[in-house]
Amino acid sequence: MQDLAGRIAVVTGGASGIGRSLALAFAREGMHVAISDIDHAAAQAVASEVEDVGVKALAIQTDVADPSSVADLVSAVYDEFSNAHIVCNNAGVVTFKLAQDMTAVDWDWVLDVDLYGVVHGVLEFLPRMLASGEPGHFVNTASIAGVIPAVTPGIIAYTAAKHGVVGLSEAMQLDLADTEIRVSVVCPGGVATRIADSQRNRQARYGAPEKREPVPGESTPHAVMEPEQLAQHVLAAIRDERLYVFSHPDLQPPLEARYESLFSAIDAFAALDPRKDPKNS
Amino acid sequence: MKDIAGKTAVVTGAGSGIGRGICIALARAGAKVVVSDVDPVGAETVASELASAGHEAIAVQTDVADKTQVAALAEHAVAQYGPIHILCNNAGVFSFKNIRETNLDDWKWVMSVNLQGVINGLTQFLPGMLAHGEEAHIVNTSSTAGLYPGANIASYIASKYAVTGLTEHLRTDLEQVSIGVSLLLPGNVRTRIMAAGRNRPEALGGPEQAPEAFAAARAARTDQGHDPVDVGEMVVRAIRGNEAYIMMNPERKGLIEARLNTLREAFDAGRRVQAELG
Repeated sequence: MQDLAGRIAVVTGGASGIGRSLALAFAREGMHVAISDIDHAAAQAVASEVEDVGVKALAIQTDVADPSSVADLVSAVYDEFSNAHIVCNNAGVVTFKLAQDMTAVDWDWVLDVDLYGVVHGVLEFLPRMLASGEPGHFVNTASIAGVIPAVTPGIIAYTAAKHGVVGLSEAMQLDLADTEIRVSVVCPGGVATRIADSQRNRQARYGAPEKREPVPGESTPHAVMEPEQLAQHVLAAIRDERLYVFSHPDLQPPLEARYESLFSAIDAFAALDPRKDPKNS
Repeated sequence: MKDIAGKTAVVTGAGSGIGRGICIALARAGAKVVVSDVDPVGAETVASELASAGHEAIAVQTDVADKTQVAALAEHAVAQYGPIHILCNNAGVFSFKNIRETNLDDWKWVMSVNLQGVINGLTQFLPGMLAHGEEAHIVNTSSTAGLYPGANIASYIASKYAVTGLTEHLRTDLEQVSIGVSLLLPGNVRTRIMAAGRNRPEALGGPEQAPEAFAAARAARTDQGHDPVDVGEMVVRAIRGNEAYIMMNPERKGLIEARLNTLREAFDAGRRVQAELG
């Protein structure tokens, strides 16, 4: 999508961090912005910042884990703006616990927000966007943990969810290739946001917010980017219609290492293959 | 886990296909096997097959999407055989639709079995494995579709990518407690996964059939597919050696390399953008 001015952007998790920076970056390009967040007061504050740029803003309270809440978001956006061109499924949370310490409700919380939240956004917005016949672009926020499975111990549910978001985004690109809808998936390393403090928004149905404890063996990101910078990477990907937003090239070595292990396993198997004449299939 | 003889294994989705193949290979290696499937007839048939070959096996009906049923499976298995040493989270289903034609129930069904089923296995079996202190190993079934995408199977792709990431991460976390983890990445195995829609629950839309053209195309190449028992033998080998990956389709390596190359290009594009931003 080249011309952004006058078009409509929607950002979930828009009240802080990457979401807030996306909302402001879209506003500076002349887009009107719907800021959706579970923290309504914070969303309203970002809406005022967006209005100060000189465009229209709408703050909406949404729990992306709840499909009916996302359906309400879609209604509110179309009631106000009659359109949605860029939809950023960005809301995300994380727990810091080893797999052996994760409870069923920890898993539910992270997957419901980080993975099913994106699924809800896609399924609820896509039919309206396709029906409009206008260009559209989904921006799904994953993480470098969505392509490198063990970037640090202690984020297993986040890693699973973000891998799911990457797979979903790749599949969307294939399934929607014959439409006006494009897709980008954002895979940053460290960004200066409050995600480590996401327990503050843990919904009551997932149990009480928990204190962050250090995880044995965890590593902290060494190159932390400002979210404003990441938003510029996202804008460039929207303009160039690029699927992946990889903002942290220093993380390429662990990706290469992971594939080397996988390829060695595949090569080792070739000698054991019981099939006489395996065809590519 | 060097020695499988005398150990106890639980295999989900074991009433047919890869799950049945894993059960046969584990039983031949001397394990006692809990054959779990949503289809009780399938589970009973495999358990009887093992028993008549002189192995120890029981059948348990389980819908892996339901945490309480997985808890009951764990309880039943422990009551029968004592500590569980091997868990194969294998049950999986498949739905073939362009994403623009999918509804939330399609997604719930595929995700609840393929991903939540694995998570339920972990949350219900890991505490027991940690407590008994004996050797333990977990095998999760993903797919080659957990490594690179395909059209018209978005929910399957999302679920299998998630299982891939989850399992590789699990291996890192469980290194600290000496529980082994292997990721099974099957492609083109002679199974009934195309008929998985037979088990879709009424509450999530009821049974469905794979589109004929797709099922026919897959059937045509199945002759070159793996025998599920051969997959089972490779699983046993991976448990013995605590191997990270079980990937039996070298002919698909090029597709994985192609995806890696797109990721490399994405890093390069990120470097270019960063240079322009300064």
